[in-house]
Amino acid sequence: MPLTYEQLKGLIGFVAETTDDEITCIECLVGMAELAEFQLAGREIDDAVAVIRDHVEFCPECAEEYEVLLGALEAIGDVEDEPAVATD
Amino acid sequence: MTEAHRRNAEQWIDHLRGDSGVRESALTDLRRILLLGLSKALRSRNLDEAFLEDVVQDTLVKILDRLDQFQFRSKFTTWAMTIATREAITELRRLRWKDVSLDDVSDGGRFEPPNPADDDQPEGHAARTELVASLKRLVDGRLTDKQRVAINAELSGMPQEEIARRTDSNRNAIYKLVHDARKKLQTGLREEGYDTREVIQIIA
Ligand SMILES: [Zn+2]
Repeated sequence: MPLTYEQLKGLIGFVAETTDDEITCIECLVGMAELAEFQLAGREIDDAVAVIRDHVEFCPECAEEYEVLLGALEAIGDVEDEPAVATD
Repeated sequence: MTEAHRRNAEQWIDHLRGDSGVRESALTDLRRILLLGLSKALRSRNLDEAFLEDVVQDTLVKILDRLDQFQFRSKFTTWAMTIATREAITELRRLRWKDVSLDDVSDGGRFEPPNPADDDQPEGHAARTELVASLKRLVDGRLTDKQRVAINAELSGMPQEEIARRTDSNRNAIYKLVHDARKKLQTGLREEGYDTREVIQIIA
């Protein structure tokens, strides 16, 4: 089946934006928690986290997971504190 | 429902590695946190509770398995939630694509350019036709069969995880396979005189 122009545009965009130092989805998962905390706190990200952000912006699958992650983190709020105290 | 005990990251790790009572209590709290997060974040997808409970159960097994991989660079629960999220989305993708074969979406790896009649923009038509011809030459001449199949499947929307499932591979390997294909096409286009930024404008 012929590609649609939309698909062709997607392919060309992916090819044009390809770089040598891309990380994989597994590597992205390792840093996704840190990226989410930076973003939710509105903090400026450092270079190591910027690599994760770049992958999330480029990879549609990690982007979908990241969006759900942000929603989940907003839903649970701040569940950790120091020191450990029973709240029931 | 009682609230979860609050723990910092070190305590989560200690408790999850602790004696059965402490461990069970930490697991119960973590289960509750993950369920809460996933059920709210995925609310619009109308999933049943049993689906989410299974996902969380599988997530807990993975977390216990990977405790030594936690690097204390985020809260423990944030890290745990990334694993839960990937688990949930991966399972949803599996269900969504379960009846679709690789053949259905990859067209045997054939690269068939768009039908020129569908090009509804009169401007730049000749440049697009030329670019598409170059791209086809490169896809046919430089990519492996596996790369062509993976690219076609991806362009049809099949997630890499699902391509991997159908090719006895894994998501990482598919990412690398496609990355290598993208690199070859990028290099090829450069050799044919295309600035990679310029090609985006031609196709825009
Ligand atoms: Zn990814």
